Amino acid sequence: MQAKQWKNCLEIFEAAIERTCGERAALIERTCQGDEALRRKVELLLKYHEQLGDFIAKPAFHIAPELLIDDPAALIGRELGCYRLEAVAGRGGMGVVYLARDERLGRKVALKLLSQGLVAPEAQVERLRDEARTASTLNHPNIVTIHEIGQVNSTLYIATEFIEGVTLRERMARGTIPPERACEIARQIASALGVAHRAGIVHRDIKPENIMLRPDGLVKVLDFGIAKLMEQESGAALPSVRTQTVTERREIWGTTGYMSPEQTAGGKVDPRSDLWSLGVVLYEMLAGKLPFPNGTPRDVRQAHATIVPAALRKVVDRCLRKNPATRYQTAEEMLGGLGETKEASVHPSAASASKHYAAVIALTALLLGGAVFYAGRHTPANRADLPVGLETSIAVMPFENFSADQADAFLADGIQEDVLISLGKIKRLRVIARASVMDFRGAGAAAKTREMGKALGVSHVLEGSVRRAADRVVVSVTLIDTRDERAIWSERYERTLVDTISLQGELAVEIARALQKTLTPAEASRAVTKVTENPDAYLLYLRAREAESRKDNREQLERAAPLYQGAIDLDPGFALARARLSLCASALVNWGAGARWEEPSRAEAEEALRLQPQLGEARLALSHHYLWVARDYDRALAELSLAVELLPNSAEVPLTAAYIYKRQRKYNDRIAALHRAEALDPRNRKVLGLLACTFRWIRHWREAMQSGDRLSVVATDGQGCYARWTRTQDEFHFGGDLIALKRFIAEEIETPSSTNREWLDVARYETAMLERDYVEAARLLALIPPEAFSLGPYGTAAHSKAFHAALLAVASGADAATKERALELARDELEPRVGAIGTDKPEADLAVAYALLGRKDDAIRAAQHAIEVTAGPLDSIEKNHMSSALAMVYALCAEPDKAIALIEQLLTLPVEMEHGAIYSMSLTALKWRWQWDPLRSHPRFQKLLAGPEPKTVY
Amino acid sequence: MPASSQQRLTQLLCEWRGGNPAAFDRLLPLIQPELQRLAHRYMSRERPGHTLQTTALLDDAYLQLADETPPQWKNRAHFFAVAAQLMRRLMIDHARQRQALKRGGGTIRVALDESAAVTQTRADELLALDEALENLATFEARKARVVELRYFGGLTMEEIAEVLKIHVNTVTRDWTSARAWLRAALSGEDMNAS
Repeated sequence: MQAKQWKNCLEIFEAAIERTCGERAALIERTCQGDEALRRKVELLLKYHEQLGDFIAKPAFHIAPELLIDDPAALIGRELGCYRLEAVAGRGGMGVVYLARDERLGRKVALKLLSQGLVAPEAQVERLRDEARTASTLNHPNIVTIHEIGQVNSTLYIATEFIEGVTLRERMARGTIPPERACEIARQIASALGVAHRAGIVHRDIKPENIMLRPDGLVKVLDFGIAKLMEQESGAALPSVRTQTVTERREIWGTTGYMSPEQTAGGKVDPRSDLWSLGVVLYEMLAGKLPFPNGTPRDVRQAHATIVPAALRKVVDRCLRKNPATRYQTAEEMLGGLGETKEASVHPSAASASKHYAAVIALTALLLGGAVFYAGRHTPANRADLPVGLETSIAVMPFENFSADQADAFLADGIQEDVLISLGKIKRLRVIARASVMDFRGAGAAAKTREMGKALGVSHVLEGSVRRAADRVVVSVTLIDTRDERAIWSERYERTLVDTISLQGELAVEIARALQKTLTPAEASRAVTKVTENPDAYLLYLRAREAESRKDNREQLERAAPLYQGAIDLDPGFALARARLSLCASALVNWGAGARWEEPSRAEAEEALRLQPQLGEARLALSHHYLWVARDYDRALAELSLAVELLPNSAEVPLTAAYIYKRQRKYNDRIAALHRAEALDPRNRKVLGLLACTFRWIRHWREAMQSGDRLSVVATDGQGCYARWTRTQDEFHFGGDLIALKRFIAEEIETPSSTNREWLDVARYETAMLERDYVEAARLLALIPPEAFSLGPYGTAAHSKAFHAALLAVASGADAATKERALELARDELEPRVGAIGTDKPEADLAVAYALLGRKDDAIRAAQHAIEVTAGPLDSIEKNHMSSALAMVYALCAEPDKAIALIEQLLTLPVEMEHGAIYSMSLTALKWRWQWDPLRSHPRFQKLLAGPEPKTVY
Repeated sequence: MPASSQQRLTQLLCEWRGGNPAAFDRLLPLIQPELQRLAHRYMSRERPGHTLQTTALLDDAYLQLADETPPQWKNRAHFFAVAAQLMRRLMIDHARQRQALKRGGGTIRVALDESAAVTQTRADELLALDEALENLATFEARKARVVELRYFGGLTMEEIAEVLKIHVNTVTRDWTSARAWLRAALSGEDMNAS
């Protein structure tokens, strides 16, 4: 009825407005025929007609274009489900990516909101989400982790791990990528594709926007299984229907330039389609443009013949074949192809090389070892298939000091290290880092080179000696092929001390020549650049390096810093010394040496960078400043991403990344970075030790054991015993029984060394405590010197001997007076240590002592305070370790429910897990330690112990 | 654009004209990126006193989509008709999405900045207009269509006349009365009171 009246009303209105005002009243009177309601409506319309103004005069599009494009920034600060949108991270054809915070878990994520209207019809969404979920189970370091796929109202979103770094697109905007790096990136992508393909998942949208390059060199492939979410029924991907290469378009909407012919045609896609796309990406990395500017795959061969370095031409060729049957059939096959390029000796055809690409081709002359051989291994079990890059890799052995004065040893060490650093700047050469070769100090006889080559996995070894007499320095070097132990090049340099400064650069160039490597002009210039013109400054610098390299501790750093400062005073333009001083200062801040180092940490790095913008060490120094001093981890990573290209062979770069990732609680990333550091510096104990302990934190016992095995091989003497003991403890946590511990003890007793004595007794004491053989434990405890508990080679402070004695007294059921005396002794020893900087553990121990003394309130308060003062974010592993102490206090104070609730939670969190620490939170520890006995009668605890160990969430 | 996509676009336009509503759904994803790209361009060019004709933008879109062959006028008009509807759908979808975020997100802890608030208001207004337009269409489908073509498609009166095959004076009249009705409806007047 209403509708009809309105229709009528509008007619009257239209007639009325064509009349003059005077005529209108009569018209309305006549046409409404006494219908009051109708009349009111007409008058209403007339009234609003007067007020129209510019109402909807301009198209909506003009008024609110931001609605059409859905201005992403407008959503910042909003919440979607449990995610708070914090910043726009990027946008693509499928929607906008936000940096968001997961409020439940307090972690940063990348949240992709899929544009409506681009999503497939509702009915299919569920099935497609299932597929994306399958993709989310892919576990590979080169595949971004999908946390969640969800929907709020009609908005579909995907939450993934947030990756620091740049997209390959952004990197390519800065210029073409050197062939060896391009090859490495392609390998990592292929490695990711291989895993996905085996799981039956085709990516469908491999393109530079979907590839992230992390500062530590790791490549991450994004959006597995997501492309399909955006497809239409036909099976053809539609979000990017164009093959245009207009930059603007590509940035905003992606492009089909990467789609295989069968995909573009809307046909069925399989793994080989992804390999086509990867071929396009590889081509673009090398050539700086797409292979098919006109969208016609026909002319590819001709086009890329002139641009792609010959070594990779074969690979690109195989990828970009129109017929999938003639391409590589699997990602593994392609990996093989990429591997072969390492061996290929390629000479550019001058005729076909345009001037612009001549440099690229020259650079590609040999694609080898070095950066390419890491393809993102997560499981060290695969370590056997680590390509060792036998073709061209070099270990620079410690130079021998033949000087009359042994005090000149620093000169030999300094020159060796400088040669090593200069060589490290040559990308196509894998150079074994210093920590890995120092084991061979003094082993110099050529007879052993084959052995060393094998141990280090290198093709060549450089040996040298230095003799100094007054201001004359004689340096002799020999380059040996480890496979036949043949000296392929040998030289003797006699220089004044002043000229020694430039020697390392000359040597690097000569060695490269002897190895038949062609250097790029940039590499050559980096290699021969004198670090300083001032010989005295150089000597001070070498002394500082020597001081620093002896041991990584505060005392050595405090010795090195003034030496660097002295070198800088002599030559203010000595950028490398400034970078090193900055690194030294940052490390000192970290060691708690005080705020006075904060300023040099920043200032020296910045000055070094100003003096020499291309100095990788300066970038590294700035990264360390942000890491240890400013604690700005995002900026630390940003600087690190610049350092990685300048220091391609430096294990320090991924090691730094590992430190940063720990602070960001990204344990998987940390592991990947450490694996990369291990690849560059296979015998570095610190790297292997950190790898083992990271796996331990997340209760990946098996992997921790494998890392420990590798550490045991390279660690020597007392360290070796410690490493084996730590590894044995992992086996104990893993196996749940004491067999491993007993085997360790039996083996070590059989092969005693002068240095394993202390550790062995500690191991026996701890095992006796777990066995509850208190007589034996007491006997051993009496033998162990107090410092054996508190000083390990890794500087970890464990419980004091007095505390152990108190625990033993309680556990063994000594009489009340003995117990009390032991506990009071422990308390008196612990109380003064509470509150000292960086030592919150004494307070946790004190809390346990209070608990055993029956001072429940004091105990709980102390444990809670220990948690509170432990540095770090809320759920850092250190805090969780302290929470484990609180759980123990609850257990000992007859608060079983509180204890068990806390334990249940802690078993799912990463925790610090130190050797001998009574708070280690694993199922095995709960099973064996007497401190947990008060909980054993509780069904909830029994159920927990029945296993399996809950999965650690991180 | 690959040949297959062009054919697909032409085919879908034909199907939609032929009365197959499902074709519209399939046109949307095909044309949306183009429209959004234009919106981007529009925003970046926008400055006081400078108004870009929507039809100029749509022309551009049409030419892009039709692979740069000079289009027949008839096709072009029909394209605009589709585009207007698409535009409406897109803007309303996005406005709804925004509301969903406002509601679905629960508490908004961070105060919205000014531009976000303006956008939010526009989104609310747009949704109200859309609803009113739906109402209008129940008894004056043609007038509602005129508004859609004009307001969402940015078509000129002449172009609307061409698309709807009516005289341009009729278009003007429809436009005026539809605006007055919508204005009243959006001013909170009880349009159902009798």
